[in-house]
Amino acid sequence: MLGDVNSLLEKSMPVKELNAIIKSAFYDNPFFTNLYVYGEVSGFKITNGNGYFTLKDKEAQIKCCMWGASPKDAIEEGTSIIARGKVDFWNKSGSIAFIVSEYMPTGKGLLFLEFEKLKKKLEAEGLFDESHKKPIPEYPKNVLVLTSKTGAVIRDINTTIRKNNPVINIVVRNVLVQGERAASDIVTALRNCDKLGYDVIIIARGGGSLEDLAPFYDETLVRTIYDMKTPVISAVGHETDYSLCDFVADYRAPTPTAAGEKVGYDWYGLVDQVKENMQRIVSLCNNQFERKSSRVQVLSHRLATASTTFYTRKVNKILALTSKLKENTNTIIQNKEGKYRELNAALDQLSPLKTLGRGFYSVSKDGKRVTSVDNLSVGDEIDIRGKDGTISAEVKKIEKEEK
Amino acid sequence: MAEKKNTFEESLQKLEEIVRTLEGDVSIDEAIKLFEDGIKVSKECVDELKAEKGKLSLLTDEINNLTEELNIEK
Repeated sequence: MLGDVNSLLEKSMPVKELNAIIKSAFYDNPFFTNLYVYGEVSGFKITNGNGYFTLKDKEAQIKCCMWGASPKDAIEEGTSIIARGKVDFWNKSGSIAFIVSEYMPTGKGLLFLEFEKLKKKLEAEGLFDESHKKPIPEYPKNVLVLTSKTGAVIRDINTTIRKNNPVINIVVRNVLVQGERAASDIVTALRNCDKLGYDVIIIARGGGSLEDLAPFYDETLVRTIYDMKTPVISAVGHETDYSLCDFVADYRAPTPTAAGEKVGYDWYGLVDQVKENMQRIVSLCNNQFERKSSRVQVLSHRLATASTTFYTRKVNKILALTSKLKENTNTIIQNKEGKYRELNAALDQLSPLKTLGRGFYSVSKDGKRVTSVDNLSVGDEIDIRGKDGTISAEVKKIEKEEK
Repeated sequence: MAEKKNTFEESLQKLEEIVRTLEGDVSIDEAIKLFEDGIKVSKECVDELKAEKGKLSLLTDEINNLTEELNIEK
């Protein structure tokens, strides 16, 4: 028990005094007198020319009043606004209200505003810095796709990669991509897979409303992606949607198909290139060989020709010399022959037969011509040779003529 | 490899010189010596070419096999 009523009354106050103190707590603190608050409008109504509604977000709400409102000032249910005003406390009802002096619709949902705020904070921390981004390997071997196994997304990625590449190992890990538990599911998957040696990890899901994509604005997920050692591609939503995952990821693919294109390098093209280069090597080597071979051929042929021409040349020289020799010999022989004939003719002229021809007779003894009577004696047998015959005779008398 | 190529080049140069000398005027003794040398060098070149041809055809076969292996249908 508190004790004796009388003594307690002394240190107690009436409700109106408590409320007055509370009220002054708000009124005396300038913080409460000029505030900006954003939230969603709910249950707007006009009573006695004043607007009343509730401003709320996912976790809290507060009553709001707008003095002097007409029906045209009505705010549509669910509209996100940023309101300026002060906190007021009503002594009579003991309730707190936010007195809105002016407001501005945000145009986007409340969620968007929260995301924008988080984005600014993370950006300031440097989580989106280009310098921190890891390059996506040009020729990845093992690709991990974190997405819903049942969606069209994985089919799109698979088809895109396989169009040009039959060799990349595509591993799909099923994760929740929507709802309260999606972000933590993806965070767990990322942390578990970072050390498994994947060349790149694709986080993918199809398009959706901002609420649908909320897991990809999760601060823990964004920080986890930032801390990853494996390069991460974010392929969330459509081209026009930018989630915080897109900003922090090493590469932002506008669509899941684009992510497939980023990793699905043209393997067939590479193979063709390799084949082409190999054939070029072969033909270059062959050309080189042919060049060498033909040089050897040409020189060998020249060597053979040189040998033939060398002998031909020598033989020709011998032939020339021989013919010259022959020519010379002939000349000599002819000369000799000429002389011989000449001499012969001369001899002929001197021949005794010629003299005999003219009617003279030649006397010979024992086959020897008798040129002097001194060589004869009486009784010697002599031959007397004339033009048409020979006479055998005996010397009868010798008369020597004295000169 | 480069050294070997030089040797081949040198052989070819030598052969060229021999042929050129032979195409000029030389004595028969000299000519015979040159022919012998020329044939020797020529044979060296041909032998090297043969060895190269063998190597080349092995490589070509290997590359063709590789290319065959890469002929994968889409």
